[in-house]
Amino acid sequence: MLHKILVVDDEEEVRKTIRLQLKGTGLEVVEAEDGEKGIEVLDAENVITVDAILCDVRMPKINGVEAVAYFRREYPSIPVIVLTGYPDVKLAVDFMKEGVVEYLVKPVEKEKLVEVIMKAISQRTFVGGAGPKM
Amino acid sequence: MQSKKRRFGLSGKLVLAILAVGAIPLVISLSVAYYRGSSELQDVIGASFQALAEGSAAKVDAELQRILTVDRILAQQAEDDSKVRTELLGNQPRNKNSSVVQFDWPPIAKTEPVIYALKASWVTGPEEGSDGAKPATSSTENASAKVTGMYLNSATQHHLLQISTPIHDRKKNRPVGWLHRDYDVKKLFDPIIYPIRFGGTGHVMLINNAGAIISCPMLVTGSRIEDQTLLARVTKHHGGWTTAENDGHGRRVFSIVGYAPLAGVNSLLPPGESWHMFVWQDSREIFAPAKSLLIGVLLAGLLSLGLLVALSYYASSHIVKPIQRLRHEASRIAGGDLSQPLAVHTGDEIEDLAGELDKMRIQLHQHIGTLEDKIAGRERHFRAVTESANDAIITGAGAGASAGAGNIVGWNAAAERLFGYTEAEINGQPLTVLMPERFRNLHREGLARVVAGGVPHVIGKTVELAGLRKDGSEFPLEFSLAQWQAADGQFFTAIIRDITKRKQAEEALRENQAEKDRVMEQLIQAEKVATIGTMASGIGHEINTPLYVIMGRAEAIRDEKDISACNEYARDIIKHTKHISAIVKSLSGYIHPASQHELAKVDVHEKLAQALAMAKISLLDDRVEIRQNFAPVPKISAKPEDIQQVFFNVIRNGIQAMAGKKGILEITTTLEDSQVCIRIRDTGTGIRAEHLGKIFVPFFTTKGPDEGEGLGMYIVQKIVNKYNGTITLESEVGKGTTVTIRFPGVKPI
Repeated sequence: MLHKILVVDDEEEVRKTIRLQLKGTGLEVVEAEDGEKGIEVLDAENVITVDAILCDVRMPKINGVEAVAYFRREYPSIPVIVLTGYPDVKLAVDFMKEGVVEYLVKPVEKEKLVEVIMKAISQRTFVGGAGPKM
Repeated sequence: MQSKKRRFGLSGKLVLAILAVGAIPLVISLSVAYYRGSSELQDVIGASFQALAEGSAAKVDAELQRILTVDRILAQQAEDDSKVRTELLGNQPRNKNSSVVQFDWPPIAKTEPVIYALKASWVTGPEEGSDGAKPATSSTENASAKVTGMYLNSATQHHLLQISTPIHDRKKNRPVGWLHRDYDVKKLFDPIIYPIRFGGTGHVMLINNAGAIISCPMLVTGSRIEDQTLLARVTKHHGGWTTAENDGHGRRVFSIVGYAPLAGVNSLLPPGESWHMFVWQDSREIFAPAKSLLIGVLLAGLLSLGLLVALSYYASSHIVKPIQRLRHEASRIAGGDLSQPLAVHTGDEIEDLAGELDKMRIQLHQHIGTLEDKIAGRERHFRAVTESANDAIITGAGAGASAGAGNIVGWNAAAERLFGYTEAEINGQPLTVLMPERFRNLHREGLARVVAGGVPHVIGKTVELAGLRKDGSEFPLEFSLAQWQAADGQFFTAIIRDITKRKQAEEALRENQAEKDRVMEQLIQAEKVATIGTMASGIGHEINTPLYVIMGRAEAIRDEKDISACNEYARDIIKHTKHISAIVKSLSGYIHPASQHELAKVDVHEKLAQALAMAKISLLDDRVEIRQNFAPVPKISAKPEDIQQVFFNVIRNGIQAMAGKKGILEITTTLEDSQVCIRIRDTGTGIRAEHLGKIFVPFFTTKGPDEGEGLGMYIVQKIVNKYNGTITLESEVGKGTTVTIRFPGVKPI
């Protein structure tokens, strides 16, 4: 089964790396270049087709902290994985409290990334508001 | 000395003054008296000479009249007595051709023994007289006796006067001839002229208007008066007197001459000729009274002058003596004898002056007494200060002092304590014994220069040297030198202080300061390290992101078969590896201790950019707008990492003040009054007034425990001050903070 992943990252080099790592894994990548764009992508779709969100922290306009908060509030059924360069425990704890599936610190290996994504997708719950946006 | 300089004493001046006052009028009055006396004398002499001339002239006139009368009588006899006539004529040889009969005149001489006629002519006709003598008129009708000529008898050199008297035949009433008689003039007039003598040389002289001397007791008859000027003045138609530069007797001397015409004679003389009486006396004789008057006057003048001198000398000595006394008394006071009163009792102004001087003496005496007391007090004060001083006070002789240049003449108790010599031991010793061998030559050179008139190089300065104690030990000293001049030569006084303890204290202080500097450096370093700690997550992000890209490319290469794609991935890896390397390099440079850096010319714009890049690492987004207004500014002299630390700390504070909210960080550089000015403004929360004063206090912070230790601004200020810069803060709560840093710029050369 083909799964769709929303990648929110401002750096093209990073997005390209993610594309390369997910190539041939059956995971389709939808890209957004910052938090604002990521929110727009989700809000624009009538039927939720995104299976997971891979989100950076440091971004222009709307940063990862705010974007993740929005995703968790508006789309709680979509698992969110934070992929960031910050090896920051406080930040990691804050994101975990927010309900993210995993706080991944770059660099992360291809296998690890795919594993985390697959696990997040498999464990996603449809309880508590999962489903089409009202 | 003064009396040698003085040419005229007061007494001499007074005598001169009195002489001037007395002698000038005296000389003037004497001169006037002499002039008037001699002028009046001239008048008197002239008048008497004139009178004498006129009297003499009258006598001669009278004599001539008498002669004429005699001739007339003779002529009448010839008229009346033909016998006489015949006798006269018959006895004489007759010349047919001439009617003139010449004959001697014994008969007449017999009857007229006083007449000195030499000869007589008897002329029978109306013809002319003999010997060129001319009858006064061709007709004897109205003729009377006439002087018809004067000629010189060549035999006697006497003048002969020819008098012609007509002889009438009364019956026929016609002239029948002339009686010519020739008179020897001298014989005729000398008896009248000669006796008129006065004084030794005074006499009268008969001359005619041609200057011929007719009769003179001194000159030969027939000689002439050659001076025409004199002649013109004495041959006037009236009597008078004159002065002349010629005495008429052949000498050019001043003369007074009286003169008078012989009126009676002149009426008988042929027209154009006249006789004059001339009265003369030797001028020496004339002016003898004047001379004696002059001598008298001069003697009187000299006597008066002598009297004046004597009197004025007496008067001046009367005035001068008290003054000399006063001078003597004054010089006694000047010599220092102030105790005796000034005693001059003259009862006049001199005594008043002496009184005033004595008042001055008393005041001077009191004043000097006070001064002496003061000096004695000063001396005691000086001794007390010198002896009680903790510093050694040493006086050395300089040029001209009897002790010899460079020798010690003053030594106080502190000097004894310091060097170990007693005053008795050291006095007269050269100053060099107090200094180690290595300083002695320098001292001797300096002394030689000063003795030669130079100024010591160390005057007015405090100099650190070493001293040598009696026991041979050395100690550091500080001395200041003063040069002073006394009546008995030049001296130097040195105040010397043992600075052993101070040197130790300074050493300790230097060590202390070095310790402080080291601590400060450590603190700065610690703060830097701590800063890096707070940035760890940001730094991690900066490195991890490219690392992730590298990892992804490496995985792709591993799985990729297409070599060209692999090449592309490899290039990406290299690029991002370089990026990481640059980040690490900049951080490691920053983290090095400042002691390992060198001073350089720092471009503040470059350091601002680096500090900004570092500060931005911690930002999660781009909501803080960065504005940069950079003006061209000179470089500053500093260690580059210090400046980067300053800028980073200030910029980070500004960013933190805007904590995740939107805001503006504005960085402005300007050149103000040749200072490089960096202004960093944020629109953050601002600083509360009560915190503003504590910003630079170490460990003061308003941030959370993970954001800093409160050393940032303290260190910023320390670094700015280290480079002679200043830092100021302006802040308003809710609006933001502006930090202004100023550094002196390096002149662009």
